[in-house]
Amino acid sequence: MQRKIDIIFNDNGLVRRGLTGFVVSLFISTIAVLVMDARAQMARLETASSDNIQWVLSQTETEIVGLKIAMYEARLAETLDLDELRLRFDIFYSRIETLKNSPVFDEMRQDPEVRSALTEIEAFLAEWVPAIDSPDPQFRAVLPEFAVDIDAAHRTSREMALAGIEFFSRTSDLRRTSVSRTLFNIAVLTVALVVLLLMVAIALLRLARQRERSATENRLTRERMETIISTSLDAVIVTNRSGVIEEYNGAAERIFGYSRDEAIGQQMADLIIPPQFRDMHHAGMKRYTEHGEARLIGKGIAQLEATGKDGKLFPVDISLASAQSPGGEIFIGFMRDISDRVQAEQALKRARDRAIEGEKHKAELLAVMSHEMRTPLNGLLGTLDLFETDSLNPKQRRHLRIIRNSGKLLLAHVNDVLDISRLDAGKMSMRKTRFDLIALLTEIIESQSGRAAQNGNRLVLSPPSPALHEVYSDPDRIRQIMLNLVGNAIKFTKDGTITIEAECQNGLNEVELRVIDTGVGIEEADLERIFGDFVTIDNSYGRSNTGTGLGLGISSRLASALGGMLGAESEPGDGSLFWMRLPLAPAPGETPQIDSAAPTPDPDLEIDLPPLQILMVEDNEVNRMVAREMLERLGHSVTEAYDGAEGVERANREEYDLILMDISMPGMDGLTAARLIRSGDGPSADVPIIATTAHALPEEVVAFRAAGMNDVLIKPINGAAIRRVLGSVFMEFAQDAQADDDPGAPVPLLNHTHLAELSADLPSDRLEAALRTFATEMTTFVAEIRLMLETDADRAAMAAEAHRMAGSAGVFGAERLTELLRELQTMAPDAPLDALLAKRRELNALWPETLSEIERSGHVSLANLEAP
Amino acid sequence: MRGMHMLCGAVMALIVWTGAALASDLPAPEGPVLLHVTGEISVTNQDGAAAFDLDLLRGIGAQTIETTTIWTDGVQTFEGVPLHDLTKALGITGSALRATAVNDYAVDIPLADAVPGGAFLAFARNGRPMSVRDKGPLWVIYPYDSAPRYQAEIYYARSIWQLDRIEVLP
Repeated sequence: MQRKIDIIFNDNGLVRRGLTGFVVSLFISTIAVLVMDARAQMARLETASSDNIQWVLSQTETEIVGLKIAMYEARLAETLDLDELRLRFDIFYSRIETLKNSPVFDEMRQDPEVRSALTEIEAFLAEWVPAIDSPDPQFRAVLPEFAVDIDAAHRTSREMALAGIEFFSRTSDLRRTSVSRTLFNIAVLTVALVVLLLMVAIALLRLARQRERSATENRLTRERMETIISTSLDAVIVTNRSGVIEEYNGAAERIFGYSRDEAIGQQMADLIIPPQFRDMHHAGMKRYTEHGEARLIGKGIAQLEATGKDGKLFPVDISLASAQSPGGEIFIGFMRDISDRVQAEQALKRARDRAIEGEKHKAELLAVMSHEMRTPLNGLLGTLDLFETDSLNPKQRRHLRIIRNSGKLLLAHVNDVLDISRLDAGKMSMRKTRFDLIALLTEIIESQSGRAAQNGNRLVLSPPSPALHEVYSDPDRIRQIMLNLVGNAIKFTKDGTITIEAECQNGLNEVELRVIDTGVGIEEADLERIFGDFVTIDNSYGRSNTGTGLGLGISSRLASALGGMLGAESEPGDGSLFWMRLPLAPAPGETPQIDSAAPTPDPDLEIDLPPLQILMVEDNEVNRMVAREMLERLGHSVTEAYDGAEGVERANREEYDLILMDISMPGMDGLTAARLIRSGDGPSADVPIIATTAHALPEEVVAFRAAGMNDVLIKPINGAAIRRVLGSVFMEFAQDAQADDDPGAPVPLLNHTHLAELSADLPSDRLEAALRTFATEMTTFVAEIRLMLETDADRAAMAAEAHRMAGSAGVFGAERLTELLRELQTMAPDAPLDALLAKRRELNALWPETLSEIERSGHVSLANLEAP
Repeated sequence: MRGMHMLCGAVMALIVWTGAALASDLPAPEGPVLLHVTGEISVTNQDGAAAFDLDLLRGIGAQTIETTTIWTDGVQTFEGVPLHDLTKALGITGSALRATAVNDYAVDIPLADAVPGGAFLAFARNGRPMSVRDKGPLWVIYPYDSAPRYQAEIYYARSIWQLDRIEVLP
């Protein structure tokens, strides 16, 4: 700024100074010219014109008078020679010659009167020269005439003198005027010059004051800058263009260790740039000076390494600028030792990495642990299935039931944790399909109404939009979420109403599902927390029905995974509202899958199979034991292989009807083993292979099928699952056996609608009593079938009892049980013993399944019932 | 430098010649007398006077100068002797010379004018002896052109023409 003003000022000053100089020199030269002119005029006055004109003219007259006198004297004395007369003539002659030739009289000779007089006198002289030069006697003879002419010449001479004097007085008057005018001009110009010089002096004075003022300002600014620099916490180093240090402040002394005296005049690069970077620095400086290409200068803060007197390297923040100084370009560098900051950053980074690592390990541990817990649980629950319950006394059966229920609860917890870790890892995949949302909600209302009634609650579905009959999402996940929300609502509401609403907010692009209760409500402060993991504060909604505190956390994650979100609003004392907003329209580019086209095995298909030779490849001993028991009870024989390699070897050696292949095994895994079996030409190369695994994502199933496997059996394995899968795989066998049945209409385990109607029609104590009676009879029937098979008479009784039981089961909507009992009724009179035993085993498995489904439906409390 | 040498030469010649003149006095004039010098002089050839004819003047050492004058038209060539040489030849020691013309015009020329390069006593103009009509027989002039300080009224007044007498004032 200061410099900019100076430049403008200087430019201005330059012009002004040039102009002033020009005007002054113009004045001086004009004055000089005038002075010279005046001097010339003075010179004329004192030289040429100074010859006394009057003297010359009067002398002319004097001399002609002298001639006249000599003339008279000559005529008076006749003896006198005429030399005196001649002399006087010559003197006069000489005078006229002078008048005629002298440049002094040039101007005067221009005067007409003078000129004619002079011409006349010259003529007189010329006329008389011959007479004058003649000898005396001749001359004397013409004297009288000469006297007359002299008189005439005298008069002429007189006139000439008068005219000349008048001319000269006029001329000198003109000259005086001219001189005086010149002098006046000089005076005027001189005064003007003085005035101008005064103005210049004033201007210079003002300029000087301005300069002084700006010099003071500059000094103050400089002092201020020096103070700022010297008190700066950052090192400030100023170098010239060749890198020599010119300025070096206190902070620089502290940071680099060199004193100011040591540093000034030294090469900056030698002092503070680490040796390995010096070449780079010089190259950079060269680039800058030659091409003006700056990488650091004026480019903001950069982080570099510097060194100090002790030779240690340390990181610095550096900001470089260049500026113009009187001595040329200078570079100003601000530097800050950032060792502490860099250390802190690194420590922070390490801590963060450790934390992330820890978190990862934790998640992995959680996943592995959950998985590892499922395997023994599988064994536990599977083994429980093997108890011949009919040979136990009621106390043992109760204990067994408690173990089974606890085991199931534990499995549910483990599944929750596994769900959370899979959802967090993004490994939970959604099976989206077209389904009827209204039917799903109705089913939930039906299944949960009984449970709601236990707390005196009413569970109602607000009439939803018909558009929701056909939506697209994952129905299993939505059911899981809604069951969780409804379960919570039931638990925290006493003698109130729980309403389920479903509303299209933007067509099917955003559907809001709400579960509204009139219960205790949630404190504002807890609203956010309840969606967190393991939230188990008292009375909290976070405590889901599974009791791990993960229920809402899982629901929230599932909602996100479905592209929606889960939220809650509540007034403590007035109830809560949980909402879930979901897109339920097929996403663009997503091919809707029609439910019926899904290649999922029909879960309800169970068929009679001939005894099979099964190869089981499984590394877990418990799993092997449980599965072998189950399969053998189904009449099959089992060969075990402990890992993939052994499995391949056995499959290549012998012919089996079926291979069960565990997927994750040490050494060769199931996928590889399946692939090897299929690619080989052993006797079992073409038999069905079923994968057994704890979890199977759709893409994994695709991989299993690509490896040549036919189906998947999800662990933990139970008898029903095994039967279903075997049935699915041996569909060819089944088709003949079930030719008379309707294969397109699989029979559900429990008709919820039917049970709900019954629950609505009957008082709950009557329903419970009826169910209790049926349960007792059913348990007894199952237990007695074995005895009945011993004799033919009993066979008829068995058919009758089966018929009676089928009727009772139909009352409660246990449709599959009903059908099984009817089959048994049909077969009882003449079927082989084996077939009947197989039916009994089926019944043995289906009955507890049905009972627990009835319990799950919530319509009837079975708390006082004994499980079979 | 050359002028200086010539001057030195002239002075040496003058000293030698003066010595000879002093030894044998001033010869009597043989032609018409152009100039009478009277007064404070130590060398004479008449009773208390030194009379010069043209030859005697030439004998002092004739020189030529060229100059314009305010009384003539154009550059004039004058032949004559420097007044300085004349005063040396006559051993004049007075303060001034009173010069008088044939028409009795008289003027005092200080002896200070009689220096080398100063007043000049001309006896011929443009190669011809000067008659009275041509401001003769003698005319005191100054080298106006080569020494402009002589272009002043006081020197113009001392430039006496038709000179025939000089009285050396004490």
